[in-house]
Amino acid sequence: MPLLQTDLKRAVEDAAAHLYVWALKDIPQDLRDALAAARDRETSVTGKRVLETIHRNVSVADEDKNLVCQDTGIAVYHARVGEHFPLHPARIYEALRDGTARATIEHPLRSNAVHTITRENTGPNIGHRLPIVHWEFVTDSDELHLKCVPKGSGSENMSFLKMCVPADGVAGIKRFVLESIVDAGGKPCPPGIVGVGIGGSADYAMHLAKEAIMRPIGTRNPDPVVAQLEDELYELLNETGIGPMGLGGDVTVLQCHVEHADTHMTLNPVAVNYQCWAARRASAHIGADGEIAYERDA
Amino acid sequence: MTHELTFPVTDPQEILKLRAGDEVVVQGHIIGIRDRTQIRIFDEGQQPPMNLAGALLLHTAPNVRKVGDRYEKICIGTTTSARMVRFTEPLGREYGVRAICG
Repeated sequence: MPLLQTDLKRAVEDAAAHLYVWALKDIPQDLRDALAAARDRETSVTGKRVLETIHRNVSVADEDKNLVCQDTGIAVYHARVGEHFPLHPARIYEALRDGTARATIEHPLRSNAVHTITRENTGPNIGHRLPIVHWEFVTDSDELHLKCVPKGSGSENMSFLKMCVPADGVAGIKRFVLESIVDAGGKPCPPGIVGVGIGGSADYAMHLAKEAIMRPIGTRNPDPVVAQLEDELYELLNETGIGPMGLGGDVTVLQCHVEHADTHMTLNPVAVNYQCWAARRASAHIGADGEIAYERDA
Repeated sequence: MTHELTFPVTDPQEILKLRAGDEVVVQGHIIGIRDRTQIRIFDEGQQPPMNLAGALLLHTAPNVRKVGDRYEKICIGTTTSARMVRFTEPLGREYGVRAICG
């Protein structure tokens, strides 16, 4: 590779390594605000105690510059690549993989990656198709926007897909999301973010559900019809009484985000992906010249 | 109600007096355990490397740093216990585990 590309690749690797550790230690402000609001509005004694413990957990991590949770997750990145960004996505992927491995070794972080059948560890949070990258390509830009969302297993295990039929309508979508969250109970470390993906195909609906949990808390889908569904689901899920850590209470979810794709006239797919209360997320812009601007709350 | 217990416990009454919703402040030894270790014990027939009588188990796999030939803790927290619920009863019955935190 030419020298410029080598430097740029190194910048992407640096950003990935920094974002992974930063996300694990310093949760975004919107999440801090949502957790504080949850603690203030919770009326159950047990629920309030759980939310106060969560608050202490975050404070200890801040004071000791330590991890918010021991589950360092699978490293998931969202890469929005401008058409004029001078490093090919194949090289961006290498840089993300190398950055993930470097952060894991240097910090050190718990390495979670195993072969899915042999269960043997495959490396410092890297392996076949790990880390996971969601790609987006945009015109009229020479930047790379990179977001790291470490995804813990407790919440990822609470993922659900249903191929509703068109006759099920929006009511069917709401019913399935509600049933999923009731089934999940305390397992995904509530209260967190419920990501819902609707439309597209089976695999794409789940992809969208993951995109939904990556958004800053309480942002709304630009399509008003989908935004209305977000509001309705948020209200509905908080009526379940599951509460913080599933021990009962008013606050079951911090938010519900919905992402959608248009779909076939005879399809109505619904996917649910849960993100725990420690909804870790950190972002950076990388310029064509390799300059990195970290962004805490994007 | 808040209780203080020191593990390992020797008197079963210390556990039997607890009621759902009580808070327990823990002293003494806590043993970390997770999926793989329990699969080894119950599905692959390997004995646990330590005595679990009266023990408190914490469902976790911590972050550690190697210092010389020892490991130093970085971050320890709980994972989802419900995933391992089929091991709960045999841990109590066969090995005398008296509490699990998750």
